[in-house]
Amino acid sequence: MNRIREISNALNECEKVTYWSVLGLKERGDVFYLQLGRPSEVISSEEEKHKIMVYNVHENNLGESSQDIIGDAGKSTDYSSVINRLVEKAENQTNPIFEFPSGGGNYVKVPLSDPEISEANVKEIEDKIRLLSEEMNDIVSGKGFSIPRIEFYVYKDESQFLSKSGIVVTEPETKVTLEFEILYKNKNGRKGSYAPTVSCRRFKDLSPKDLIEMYAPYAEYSACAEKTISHKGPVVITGDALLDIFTAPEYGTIFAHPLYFHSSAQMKYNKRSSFDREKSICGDYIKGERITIVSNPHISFGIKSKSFSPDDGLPAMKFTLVEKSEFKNFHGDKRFSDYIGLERRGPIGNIIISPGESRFSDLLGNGVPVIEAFSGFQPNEDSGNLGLEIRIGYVFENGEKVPIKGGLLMGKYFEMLKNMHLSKETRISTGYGYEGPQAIRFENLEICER
Amino acid sequence: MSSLLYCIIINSRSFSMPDVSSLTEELKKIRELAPELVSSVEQKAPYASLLATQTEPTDRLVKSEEESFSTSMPSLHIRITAWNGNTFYSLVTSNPDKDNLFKMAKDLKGSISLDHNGYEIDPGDSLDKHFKNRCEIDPAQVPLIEKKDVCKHAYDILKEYDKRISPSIGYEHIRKHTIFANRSKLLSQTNNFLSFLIQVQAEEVIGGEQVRKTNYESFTGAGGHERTKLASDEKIQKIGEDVIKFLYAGQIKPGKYDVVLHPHLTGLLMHESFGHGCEYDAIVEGRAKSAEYIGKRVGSELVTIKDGGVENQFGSIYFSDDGVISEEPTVLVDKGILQPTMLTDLYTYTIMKNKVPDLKLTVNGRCQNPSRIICPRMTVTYLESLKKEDGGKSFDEMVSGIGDGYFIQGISSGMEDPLGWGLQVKALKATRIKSGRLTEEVFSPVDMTGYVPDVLGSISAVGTEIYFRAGLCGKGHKDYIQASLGGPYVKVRLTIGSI
Repeated sequence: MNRIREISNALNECEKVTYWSVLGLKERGDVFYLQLGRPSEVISSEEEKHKIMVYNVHENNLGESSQDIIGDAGKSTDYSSVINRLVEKAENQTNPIFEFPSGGGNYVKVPLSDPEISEANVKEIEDKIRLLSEEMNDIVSGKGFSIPRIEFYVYKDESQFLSKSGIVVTEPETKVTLEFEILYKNKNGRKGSYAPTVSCRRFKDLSPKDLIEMYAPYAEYSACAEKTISHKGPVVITGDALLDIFTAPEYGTIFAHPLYFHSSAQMKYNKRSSFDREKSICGDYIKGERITIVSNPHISFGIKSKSFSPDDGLPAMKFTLVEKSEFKNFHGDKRFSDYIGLERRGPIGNIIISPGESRFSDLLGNGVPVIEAFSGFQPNEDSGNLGLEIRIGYVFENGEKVPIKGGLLMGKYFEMLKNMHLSKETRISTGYGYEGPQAIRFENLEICER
Repeated sequence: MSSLLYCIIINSRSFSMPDVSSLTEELKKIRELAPELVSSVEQKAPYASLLATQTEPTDRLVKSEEESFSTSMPSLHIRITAWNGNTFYSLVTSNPDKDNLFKMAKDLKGSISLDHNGYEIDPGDSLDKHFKNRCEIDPAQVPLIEKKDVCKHAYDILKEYDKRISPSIGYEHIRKHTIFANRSKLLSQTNNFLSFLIQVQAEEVIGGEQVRKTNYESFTGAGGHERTKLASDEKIQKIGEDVIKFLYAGQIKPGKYDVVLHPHLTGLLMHESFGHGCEYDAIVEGRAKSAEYIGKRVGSELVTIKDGGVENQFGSIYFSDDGVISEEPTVLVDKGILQPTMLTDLYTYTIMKNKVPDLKLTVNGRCQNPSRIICPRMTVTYLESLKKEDGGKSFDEMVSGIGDGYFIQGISSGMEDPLGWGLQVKALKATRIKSGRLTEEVFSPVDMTGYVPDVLGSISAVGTEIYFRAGLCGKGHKDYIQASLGGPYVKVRLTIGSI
């Protein structure tokens, strides 16, 4: 019998379980680590796990408890003792009751699986990786650039969600993540590097030429940058730095980002979100352009696409998060949406931001710093305080592009959205689940030199 | 050859079988099978090893407005590795079934092609040993209701202190087991950790502006339920008092200041600078500036940075994921001079040992889990303290010696830059020092930056006692592992700001 069905049967037999769900995940992963052009490690893994969620209603209270089960393949497991322990935990909680999800709903089937990955064996994937890495090295050779490290993570997953109310959904998906270090050494022997991480669903979406074109200048700026600056006023954010500002982190770390922390139904219920529907996300007195942000999980082969939520098994939905800088919808599952009395919108998907009114070239100006990448995007998710070291950037001085590096960009996430101008030109970054302006000029930011 | 060695291990074990009772039943069986699995792969490969890790499902509680009692994420990974002379090839499974493991070993053996001109690996000295860290009160034996009460108690103190505070209390027990085997070694370890985290957020409209501030204190570390006693009522209330003060905090004009760093931030500074800067993979790949500075000054004479050799901390390990036993700490910077001893793993050591004769294989080959790569990672990284008679200073002496400046405490995050030697460190709180005295004026949060050699070069006073703290360390933005950082109070000059 299918393992997930075996767990479901055990859950149905336990009288104290008011409601349950099981999320099953089968994953095959191949990791390739290349150092100085040759593979140092090749790892192939297989994992099967099941997450059991148990709900218990007692004296008008709700308790919920969950456990992942791993390593039970090929053996008989006493699921009833696991379930009883979960029930014991659930019986000790006093959360409000919500209406458990019923089956059905409008699931949009999104293609997320690349047969070139799902049907390939490790050897075939390894050959593909070797070709891609050779192509990357060929493109940069002889120009002062090198790629000393390339890591590929190739996954083929299948997830299945079952619930007591009859929800049965399955989703196969593939994912390739590439992380590499591009190094540049200039004529004076100064070195600079940049280490991008890009993800996609299909090998064909991974273009070595595009990647090198995008990131070789980052390594070059890094090697040539000799100055840090102090500055108060407009700052243009573009490139990877802009992706950091707006794209949603991976599932499981979504609350690490101020925008997705405050737009969460769970945080609203826990009284930690400052957002209210139909109210501005950045307070009053908005001076610049307003922003519209839509979450779309239905883009074919989108990295943040999905057909159902792993939290409640209900459909992933396209919804407006922010319209003209006013907050519209909290993301989250059925439980927390019920708690705050709003319609469920499901998880965050790919982020679509409406283009602005200005040309990119009009956003630039003499003395206006342009930031391409931060050392690490680590804002305070709750207060929105930034404090981000500039890894790659430049400033125009008398019409000349002068690379800058180091120093802190200081400001507050939601404050900076009060006065900004968005470029007309857009970019699509499938690897980050972003479609929106190529650059945004924030009018009131501060940079402190190191 | 390998079969003979295998027999020797089996025989020696029969005389002094270690007590492995702290392992799970699955891992006890895998420990028994490990030598045979390694031996079967070594019928073809010149070197093979087995690495298995398991985290047990334990209690995880969160008390905020919502109550959540779940079970921590368990994991089981069994990895069999073959070295073909140039590359480590591994197969990983979560299925501990004996037949499955032997099939894996057979598949691995069948799939590799040998490079007879490749590098040789020394399996090290023979050893069969089990290790276990200190855990006074096993959280698995503490009733759920008692754990709930600990969380609720902290929650109630903060709620009663000020209604503007939204607390969130997290409790999680982590019990992690590891097995490593090659043809010489059969090692296992059980480590208990307790994560006890108190976070608060406060919000108020001040002068027409909505102000939000956060604060937290982590009592996380090696050990068990006894760690919750570190969170005294006074300490819990102080977390609340501070976040209310932060609501009314002013701004620090960004610039260079003399500051006293709390030991935890000293540790973070060392971790980000010459912790990451001495990871040997980055040096081999030419993406760490340290390579050009070996034997040169990178800090003041007061700067001695070490990694490892410390027991019972969050980042402490008894052996690495490539089977190196933890012994003496590795000295990375000695009295301001960068040392040739770096943090290595088996791969970087193997391909570089003939080119760099002084290179040592250290206890730093670590992975997030066996399905991820093993590479050089820190364990417990710290700045050495100074005895009073050798010039070590007290906190009060440092504050009075500053004149005007700040005392900075509370870790938020940090980011390394091994090639550019930039620094991004975020702290929770700064307290103004005026005329050599600590004032009541606080600022939060605080951002710090600087050029690594300038910052370490400006360390002008070092305290007499080391304090450690738990942390999670990523390689760039991924592959998170447990690490500890520490050091004494230091006096230093760097760029800070708080807006």
